[in-house]
Amino acid sequence: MLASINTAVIQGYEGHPVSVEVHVSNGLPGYTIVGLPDTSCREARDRVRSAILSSGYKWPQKRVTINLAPSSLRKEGAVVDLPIALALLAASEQIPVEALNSLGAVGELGLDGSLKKVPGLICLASAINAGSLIVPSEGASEAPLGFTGQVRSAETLAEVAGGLAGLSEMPGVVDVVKNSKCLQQPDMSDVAGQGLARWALEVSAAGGHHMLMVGPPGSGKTMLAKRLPGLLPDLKLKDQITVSKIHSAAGLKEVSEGLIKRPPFRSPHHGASMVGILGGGTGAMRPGEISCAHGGVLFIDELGEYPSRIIDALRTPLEEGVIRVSRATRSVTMPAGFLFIGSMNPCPCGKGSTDCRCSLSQRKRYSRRLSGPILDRFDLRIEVQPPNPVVFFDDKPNESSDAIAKRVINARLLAAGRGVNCNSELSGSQLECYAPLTDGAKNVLKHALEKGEISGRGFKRVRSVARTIADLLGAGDSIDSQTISAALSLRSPLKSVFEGEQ
Amino acid sequence: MNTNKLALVALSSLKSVGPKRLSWLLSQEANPALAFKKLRSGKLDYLHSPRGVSADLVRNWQQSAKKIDFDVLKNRLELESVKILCSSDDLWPFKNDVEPPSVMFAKGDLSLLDNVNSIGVIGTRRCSSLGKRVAFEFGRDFALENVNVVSGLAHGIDGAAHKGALSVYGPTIAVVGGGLDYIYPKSNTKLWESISKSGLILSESPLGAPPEKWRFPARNRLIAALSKALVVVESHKSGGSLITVDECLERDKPVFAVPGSILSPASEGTNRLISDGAVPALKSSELLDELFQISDTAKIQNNVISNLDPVSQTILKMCHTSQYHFDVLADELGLATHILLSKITELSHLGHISWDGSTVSVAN
Repeated sequence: MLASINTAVIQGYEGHPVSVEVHVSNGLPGYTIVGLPDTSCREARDRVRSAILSSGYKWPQKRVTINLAPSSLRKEGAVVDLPIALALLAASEQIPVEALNSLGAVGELGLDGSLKKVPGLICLASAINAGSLIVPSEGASEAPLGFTGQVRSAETLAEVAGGLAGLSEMPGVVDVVKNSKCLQQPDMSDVAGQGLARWALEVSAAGGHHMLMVGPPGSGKTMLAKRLPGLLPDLKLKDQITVSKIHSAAGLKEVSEGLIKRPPFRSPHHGASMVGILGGGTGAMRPGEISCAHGGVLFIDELGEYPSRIIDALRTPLEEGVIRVSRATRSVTMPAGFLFIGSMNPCPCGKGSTDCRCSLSQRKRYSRRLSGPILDRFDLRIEVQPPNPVVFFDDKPNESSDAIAKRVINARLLAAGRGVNCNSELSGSQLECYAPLTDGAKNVLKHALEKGEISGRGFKRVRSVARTIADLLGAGDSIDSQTISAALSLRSPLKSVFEGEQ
Repeated sequence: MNTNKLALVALSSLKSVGPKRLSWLLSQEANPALAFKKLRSGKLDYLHSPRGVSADLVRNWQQSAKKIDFDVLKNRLELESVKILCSSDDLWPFKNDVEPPSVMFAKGDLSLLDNVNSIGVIGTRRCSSLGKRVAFEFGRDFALENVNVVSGLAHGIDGAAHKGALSVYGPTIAVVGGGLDYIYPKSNTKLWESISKSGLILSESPLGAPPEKWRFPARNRLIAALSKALVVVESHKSGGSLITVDECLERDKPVFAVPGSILSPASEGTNRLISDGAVPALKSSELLDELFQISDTAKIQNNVISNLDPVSQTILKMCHTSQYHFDVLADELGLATHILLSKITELSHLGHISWDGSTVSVAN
């Protein structure tokens, strides 16, 4: 007898539909799985057998062949446990074969027949082509976010099989979580002083400009960076789904509480591996930190401590907004459109120019970790100094994130009018059109180019930063010398750090 | 370029030949061309050679001398646009010196040697930012009055003094330790190039000579010899600057030292110099007046800023007293962030201030 059921497996951050076919025929009793299963998938054999027996069903004393189609796709993980068990019960005529029509299932089985949570449920659910879907109860609320049909959740295999056989009631339907809980994000009103850094942060949020902060320990770099997502507008629906899928596939928890609406904030430790940052791995190509930061902020703290090859590997995703992870047998493209915020100390001892105890060569070695091309990709480069102690005892309230976010949204609306998400995405020809330079501004830029302060890329980037500044200030269509000068100051070459002390 | 000069170049490029051995070689035979010939033909009397010159070394000299081709030497000098100076030249600046070099390699504007007014501005490589500023301002103010600013083109104080002079397109002479085709330190490449264009770089070492340790004390004596007076901006308890000071004292040239905090290690040497009798260098105008009878330098400061708008003038005046953090400056001036940022770019493009992403200070 033959039975089949729909399911899916994950590659990168997306699910791929898989159909599980089980054939039970006369012959010597035997049990094989074909269709490119990997080790954890092949182990389904033993889990399914025990689970069926523990749930009170019989194991057919016949020849059992299981095929996972399409056979060209590598299947990984225990997701296919439940579909195999259900198809096998149908093929051995313990539940009606018709019950599996237009049914999808995912779930890992325990030896006692219990259903266990699988990572990336939203990605899997969105790939399954079926009228209804059965998922494990734990984390079940993720599934309706990606699935259009009816989602039912169950605790055990017996519950599902009983329901399908008509012996008991079908497991309960899971509803969509409408109002996702938003995590409380830290507020800018906690930041005392730091006028320059606050403003740079606002420009960064409004225009999507990457920012580098250099400063001694304790000057507030991390504190500032953590408050950046709070200034960004909510994610668009399309991005909400993408981001939720990525986070689910990466096994981060937040998704079961509804779609992710707020821009994520990722801050990987400098011990992270290349694969951990970019994505990939031996198995299902897990999304890396840069993909997890898609739509939000990737904060690389202590840039100087990272191996330079990891930092340099960020160059392509920074340009293209996606990461293509290629391995011998397959390649996966994952979104990686993030706002890059870097921070580092001015030198290994951290004190900077005044009472630095580092030798010249030590300082050079430290600053050399950051290559020129990466440095050039930071539109905003500022130094963060510890605030004047007076501001801590000042009663003057600091501006809150909400107030800044309002200006940011206005600037982003202006950018949307130009057909882009934010000004950093403006192309050269769009800049000509939307950010024309006055003669004064041209002179300032010409001078900066002649002095070697900015590169060809820098020339373009400064113009888009100037556009953002003009948007924030509500200035007119053309960019005057004052605005372009302000943009140039925000792109400080950070001489004391990167050009050696002279 | 005559044979005598080329012979001098050839002799100076022999193995382990420094200023002392070169002058010993020439003491055997005053005419360099003849001395070279003698060496080549093995007629050099090494029985009375100074300590350290072995028979082996003389043989080595003889062999390398045989390989030297004057045409190749000449081409190489021309390629690097390096000129040779020796005691027979009119411009030779060491005519009355107690320990003159035998040959000088020069790159740049030789007419600077015609200028009788010159002052050495030197100091440690490990200097404070304040020290660098002082060096820059002294260099600038001296150069504005057309006084040669002589220094050693090293990191720190030396480089800042040269930069100060160059900032007003004034005369500056750099005396370096290694050969003129060996840029050292590498990070001073830009400065090296601009001095070789609008100033003068001198060296006693032949082309290709690496900046070995022993060459620097000899270099310091040349700085002393070339300067009318010496200003030590910052010096640690011990260091090369103090060698230059000794060389100056030997030549009866006045030594000035910039006083610093007693807590700053970079001012320990200079403060000690003052307590030992050096004159404190308090103001560039006072020094100019005392040494060269040049007064009325008050115009220096005013010239620089008179044609700026009032806000920029205020910023510049504030920066002259101390370096300012951006937020403090914005607060005190009551300016909006973007306006102050644009003023900063404006002033730094004019070369008045430097901006490192958070603090504003006077350019150096």
